[in-house]
Amino acid sequence: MAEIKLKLKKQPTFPLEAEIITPDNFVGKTAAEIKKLELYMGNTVVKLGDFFDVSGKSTEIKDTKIIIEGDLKNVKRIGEKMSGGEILINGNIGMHVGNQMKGGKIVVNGNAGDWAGAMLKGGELEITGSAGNYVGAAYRGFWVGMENGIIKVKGKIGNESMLWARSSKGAGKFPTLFCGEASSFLGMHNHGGTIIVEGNVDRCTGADQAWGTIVVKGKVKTQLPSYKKMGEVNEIELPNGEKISGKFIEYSGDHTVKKETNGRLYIAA
Amino acid sequence: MVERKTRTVYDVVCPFCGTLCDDLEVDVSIKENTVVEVRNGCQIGTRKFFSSNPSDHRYTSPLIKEKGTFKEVPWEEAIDKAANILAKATRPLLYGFASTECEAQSKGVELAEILGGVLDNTASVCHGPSLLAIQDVGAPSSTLGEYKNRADLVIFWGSNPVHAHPRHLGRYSDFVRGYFRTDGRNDRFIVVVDPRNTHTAQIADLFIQVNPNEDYELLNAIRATLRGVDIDNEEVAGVPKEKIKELVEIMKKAHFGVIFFGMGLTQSISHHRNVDTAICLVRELNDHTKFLLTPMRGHYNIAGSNQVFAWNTGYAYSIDFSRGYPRYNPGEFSAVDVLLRDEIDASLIVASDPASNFPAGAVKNMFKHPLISIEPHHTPTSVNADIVLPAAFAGIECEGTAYRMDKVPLRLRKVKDAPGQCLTDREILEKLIEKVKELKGE
Repeated sequence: MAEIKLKLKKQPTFPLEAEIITPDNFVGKTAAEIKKLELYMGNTVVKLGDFFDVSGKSTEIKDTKIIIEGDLKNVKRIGEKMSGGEILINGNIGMHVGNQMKGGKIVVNGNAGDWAGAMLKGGELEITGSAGNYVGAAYRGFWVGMENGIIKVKGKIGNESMLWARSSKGAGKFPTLFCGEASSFLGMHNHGGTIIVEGNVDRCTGADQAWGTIVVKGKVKTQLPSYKKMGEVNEIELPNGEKISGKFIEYSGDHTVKKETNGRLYIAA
Repeated sequence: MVERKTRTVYDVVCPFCGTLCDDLEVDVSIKENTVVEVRNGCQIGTRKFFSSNPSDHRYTSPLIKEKGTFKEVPWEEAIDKAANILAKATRPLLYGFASTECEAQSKGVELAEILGGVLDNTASVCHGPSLLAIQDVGAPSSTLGEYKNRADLVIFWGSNPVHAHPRHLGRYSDFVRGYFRTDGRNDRFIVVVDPRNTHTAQIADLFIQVNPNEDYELLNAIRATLRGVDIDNEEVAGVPKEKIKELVEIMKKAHFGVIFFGMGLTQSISHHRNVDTAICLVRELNDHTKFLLTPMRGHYNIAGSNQVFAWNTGYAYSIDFSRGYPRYNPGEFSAVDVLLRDEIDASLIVASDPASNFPAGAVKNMFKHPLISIEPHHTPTSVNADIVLPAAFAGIECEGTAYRMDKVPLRLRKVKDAPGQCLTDREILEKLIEKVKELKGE
């Protein structure tokens, strides 16, 4: 893979909006040309080269790997709408990393801000630390959130993650979220998304879930009264055909949406 | 002929809470230009009229802080300095706008657009979550007159109108006789859901004491019960299952029900999701009967600021103009969040007092950078400002438009002149716009 290396030179005073940093935008450009790309800081326009050292070049999107070094907690929207290639971030990252991405892979070796992988349409986002609120969620006012792809977060994720996720069995689209722990309102308004939590979750898991699968391998702090216990299972089949074995208690819901529902919540027995 | 000492202004709209009572009578001393009596108003509204009279708390000329003390300066100097601060800022914040009239609010939007700043109003810390929920699931609502004439079931959820909207009960929701509710209070069934036994709860027919921060769970159980599901839990949020069933039956049997919800829903732990599920409940109740809901808006024109911002930019609050066009994302561009993350380098506060109700960390960061306050009287925000621009009270000292909590626009009246050199909020913002345009070379 052709590597393009970026290194943060100084912390921006205000959040830097860097949706230009994607393999799609960097491909076919020399380091000098990449340095001239525009970023936005407050109401001013700055050059990428003002904040980053750049080296390397690439000619094809799927062959491009962007490696970014530095604490990017104040840099937003990296990897927005990218269609292929790879981004490796060695450090923390700010809001909206990989939002609406269609393909390719982003790896964050650190923590991510809010809206990581929001409205993901494909590809893979991996975060080795924890992530903020609204991981893989729909933006304000949208009724379709994450449609496809995989998000893996090793640590804890914030509130309202996977909001309005929507799968399509016919089109083979199974939006999936793996995480270590989760806060409140995980999988709110879920329409077919799959969520697997290795540890514990906070309140109101699967609130208003129309259909979908949520698996919690730890404990649930308080469970919604609108979920009804169905029985114990030893194996769970996920919508994409994969299987998880182990002892789980199966709940149906959310019954606020429908009296008879295909929505399922599995909690470790 | 006897010389008249006072003149009376009739049908005055009260610029205090979102109820916007429009039947006040205000006596003004002709010689002194002061309010001497207010009739028909509630205690809070009446006090607001008296607070406009000259006092130590009222600003009468522009002030600039020098070495920690305020110095009176001419308007030109104050506007010049304020415009310079704003025009040079990379990320200015314009916040407030709830307690002023719509024309001033639209000037605020214009200024924010020219500056490329962040624009927010106080809905951000009150009913903003309601707006988020409405964007997700819609809102079946109506004007207050409909409730007065038709509602036979009134639910106050997380709101305490006896203290916060004192005349709401008498004018629209409880004690008033309506076209189909000829016996007034006797024709209505009042339910209060609140963690505390409030004074509104004490006049209710049914009081449901919910555990603090568990409104979501209770609403959730009510919705499941309404779907015909027998829930597993014997008790939800401190309310027994039987009581939930009783409430659902009451709701289904009503001819015309309404939920008035306050900040008990929007500012307790589940915020917009409380309102989301309340709206879904109302939507589902319409399978059985007629049911609506209305937020109990606090400041008299907070509904107006949402309307004005929305028709100017497409969004009701939390707007960022830094890219030249409006973008909306509460959590990213809302005033409290940008201040907590210290992303602001100057702020202009109009007709609001964030220092009193923002988190301490946000206030600390706001005070770190230049602060301009457009304000009629001393507040914790204005006394800590670098520049104070004295404003007339909208609705008392100048005319304008305000939107009631049910989004009905009403024309505010002018009852007296503003003291000293006070200008209206609109005039001050116009002067700022003119100067900023000049500095930016537009």
